[in-house]
Amino acid sequence: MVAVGRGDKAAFSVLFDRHQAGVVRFCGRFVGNAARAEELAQDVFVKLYKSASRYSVDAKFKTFLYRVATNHCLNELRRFDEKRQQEAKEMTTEQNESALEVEVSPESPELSLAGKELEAAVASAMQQLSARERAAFTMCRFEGMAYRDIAQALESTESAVKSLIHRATVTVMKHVEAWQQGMLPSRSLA
Amino acid sequence: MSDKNWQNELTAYVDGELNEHDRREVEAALQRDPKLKALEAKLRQTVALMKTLPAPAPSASMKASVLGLLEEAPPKTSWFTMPKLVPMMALAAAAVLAVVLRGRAVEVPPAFVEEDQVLLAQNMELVEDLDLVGLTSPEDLEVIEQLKELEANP
Repeated sequence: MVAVGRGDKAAFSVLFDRHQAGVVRFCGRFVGNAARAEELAQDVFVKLYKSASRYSVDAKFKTFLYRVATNHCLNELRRFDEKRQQEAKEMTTEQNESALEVEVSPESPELSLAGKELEAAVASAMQQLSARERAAFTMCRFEGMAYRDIAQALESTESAVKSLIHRATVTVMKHVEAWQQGMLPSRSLA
Repeated sequence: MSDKNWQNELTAYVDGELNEHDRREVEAALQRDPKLKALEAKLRQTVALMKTLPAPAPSASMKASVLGLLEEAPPKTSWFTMPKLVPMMALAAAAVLAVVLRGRAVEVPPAFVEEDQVLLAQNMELVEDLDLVGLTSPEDLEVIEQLKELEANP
């Protein structure tokens, strides 16, 4: 990262290759939109490159990276909320629900119907989480990060992160249970 | 500790994030409370299911796109890597700022210039941050807010 700060594109390329998939995954889960994931991840890497000279050699790179990604995704969600509020004034209820459908990755055509419904159930649950719960849950469940690293990325304590992840996991668990019992409408984030 | 409190520890237990003492306490509670044991099983199932979900995969063209964007946005040199140039920049910027702010090209009293220099020096870090992020979009303001914390709490 220090080399990246000096404009070393080869060093940036190594970091990019190592973390590209994780950042795309994180962004997709965080905003609940697979189609936007790659675009957001691109923004994150460009920001990372531009702010590389600010990176402290004492910092753990992954927490730095996911802090930048979290901030960027939070801004994306805010923009989406504002846009949705604006569009809600113009759209019919039916159109609105259509816009909120879960987007399943086109790279996963083999995904079974049950898998798609599970995906929708999880996405539905994540829409009910606070931004910090969603960030902590995503880093823990999909990126495999330790609570300590998540706490650093969120500028929080391990104790607080433990609560965030517990609440989020219980929320998702309840949605998955409801889906398994056929009580949750599939493919809806509402 | 009550079983209700152990419920709050269960997810951390499933994730292997408890210390040895708490882990043993939770395991003892699980032995004597079937409901707690059932909740633990559900949490484990939920955690396992998350690992089966498909994830958006990056396209083959993503790297080329990002590298293309970098050509348009080279990294800015930070305040810390230009210690000798910054005071000169501050002085030059202060002089320009003094002239612009007062709308006069001549006869700016030295005292005013000194005040402006002090003002600019006091805010030089912010000026550097603005320069760093380039202010190409509104969210850059949030990055600026976070920069000091990123440095302080890596």
